[in-house]
Amino acid sequence: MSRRPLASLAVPAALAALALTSARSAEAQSITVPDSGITRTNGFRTDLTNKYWLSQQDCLADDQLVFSGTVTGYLGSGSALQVWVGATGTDCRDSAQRSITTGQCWQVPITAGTADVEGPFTLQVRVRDIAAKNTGASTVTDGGTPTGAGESVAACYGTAVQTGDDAVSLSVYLLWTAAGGALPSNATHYVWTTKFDVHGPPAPTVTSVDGADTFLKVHFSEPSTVTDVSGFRFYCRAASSGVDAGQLDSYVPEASTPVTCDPDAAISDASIDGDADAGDAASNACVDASTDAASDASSSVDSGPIAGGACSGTEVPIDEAHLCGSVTGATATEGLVTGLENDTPYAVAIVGLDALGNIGDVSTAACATPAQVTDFFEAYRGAGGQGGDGFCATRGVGRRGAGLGGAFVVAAVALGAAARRSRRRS
Amino acid sequence: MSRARLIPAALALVASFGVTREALAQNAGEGDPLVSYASHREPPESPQSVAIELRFGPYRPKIDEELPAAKPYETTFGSDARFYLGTELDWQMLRIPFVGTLGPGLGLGYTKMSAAAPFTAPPHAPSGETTTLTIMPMYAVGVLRVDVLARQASIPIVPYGKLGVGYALWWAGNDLGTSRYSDAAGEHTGHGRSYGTHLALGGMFLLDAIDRHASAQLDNETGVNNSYFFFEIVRSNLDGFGKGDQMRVGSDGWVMGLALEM
Repeated sequence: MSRRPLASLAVPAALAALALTSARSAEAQSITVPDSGITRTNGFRTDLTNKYWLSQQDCLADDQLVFSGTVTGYLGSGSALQVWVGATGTDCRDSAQRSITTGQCWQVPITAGTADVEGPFTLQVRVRDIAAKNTGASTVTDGGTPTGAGESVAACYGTAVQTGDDAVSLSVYLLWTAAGGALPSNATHYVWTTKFDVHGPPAPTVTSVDGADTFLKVHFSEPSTVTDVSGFRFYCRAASSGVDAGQLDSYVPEASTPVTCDPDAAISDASIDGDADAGDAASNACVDASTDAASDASSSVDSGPIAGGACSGTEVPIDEAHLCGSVTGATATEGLVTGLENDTPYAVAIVGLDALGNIGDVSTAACATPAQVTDFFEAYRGAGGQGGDGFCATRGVGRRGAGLGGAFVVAAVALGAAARRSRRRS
Repeated sequence: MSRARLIPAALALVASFGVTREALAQNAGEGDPLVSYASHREPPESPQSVAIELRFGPYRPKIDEELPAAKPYETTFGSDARFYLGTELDWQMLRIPFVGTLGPGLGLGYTKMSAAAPFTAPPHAPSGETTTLTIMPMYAVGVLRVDVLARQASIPIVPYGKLGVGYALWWAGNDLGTSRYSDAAGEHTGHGRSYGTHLALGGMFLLDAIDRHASAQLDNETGVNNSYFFFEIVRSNLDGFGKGDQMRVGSDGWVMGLALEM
């Protein structure tokens, strides 16, 4: 063959190769995640209505979403799945929405698994990182790696994503990007929509706390405008008098010193009165992101010292060690705090819970003292009354009484049957 | 008006009601021979064998009769009566000619009291604890209803009497459940039963007299022969037939309600 014929084949061959490559690039991309491909490391809620919602507890417990699916479509070396989150209605494929300066979407780091080749993939993202938008420190750039992702529990109480009490609808985008994170014009994506709700109901109002025999009866109310309430929890702490009247030291019984209960000054634990008092103990459950010990990262209880100052709006002062009662129902207005010690003053505060179990703001505390009570039966027996001890008491006449009761039952059945027979006959 | 004249006057008033009713019926039928004819005939009734009562009234248990000095009931719940609701089923087993019906009856009722229990320490101020007493009175009685006046003389009044045995279950509780009391003999639970005698006298007003046509229609459609409004005086002595070792949860008072015979 002459050189001229070979040279004449070179261009067509190159064009064919280019066409093949182009064809491969133009191959349809897809990201497929079946319904069964979405799981959570901490399991699902028992209420299937809110199965996929992201709650405060999910955030605090460092729950992770796991996506398992298949990606197809070759975009060249460096292709990778990225995870972006935005409020539903915001298209995170839009580069403007993924801009650090103007965008409304934020990128979430993949904490486990990879998706940088075609085929099956499994990846995990933290609920807390989705909530990291709350930190207000989204440092993601287009195609960059998210930094400053909020692992702090403070993200779980913030207001950047959810400003009010109503749940926010979020869309989680899985974007198949080319090298450098660039989204080709024919980029494919997968969108998963869920709801984000980390705020509990507003603080109830304690209207009164009444003392009873080893328990307190708490009367409270929730604003009628609040609709997302499923129950209430009571937190209480025994007040005491000590050398320092402003502190809750160990109880020192002094006969000459009356025990007082000041719901604010006498309670050093801000989990009761909602604000920090001077000298708050180390057990103060205000969660301060700046001074959190590493061990607090997954707990609502702050075991580290507080640097001072009141709990901010992003910190929830709840100490589960003081949980002393609960009541379910959105319309509840009364609850009992039981198992208390008579003649000891207690300060009681209330929080509401929403349908997701999010704990809301704590109420102002109120004080009351349980004391011995004489109810009717105690008054009756104490005065010498003889009745009681069951429907079938075995005293001398008791057997007769029990027989009489049985006779009543038999008579009722017989009377009913006889009357029925009589009517049938007639 | 003196008492000597009052009774005859009352009887005359009741009798005149029957006469007036007949007269009205006749007057309403004037000009219409079919109506006039029907008003003189008793419509055929379905068979009658039972009576059912719906009863309500005030209830004041006689608990403090056992402890007149301490008066634990009045001290805790006050002296006001509580609301009682009950029902009774009677089998009109026998019809005594020119008198009425006689047969057994069973009654069942319910009432509940509650109040704020006082603190034990003086000044015994009301606490936040609610103390309650629930009573379910029952009775088995023989019932004699004298309906001859209503059936033969068109006087829509049926006097009656009931005599038998009363029996009641009761529960005393608080916010934490059933009340308990501990003494040297041990712990006593706050629920029990009481029994004794049950006596009642009353009168029933026959509502059929207001509209006989509607009454006949009711009988045809449902089998209800007669309907009454009744008022009754009750004496329930649940003291263990005099032994006095039970909480006397019976009550003396009055009861009213509606009764149906079918």
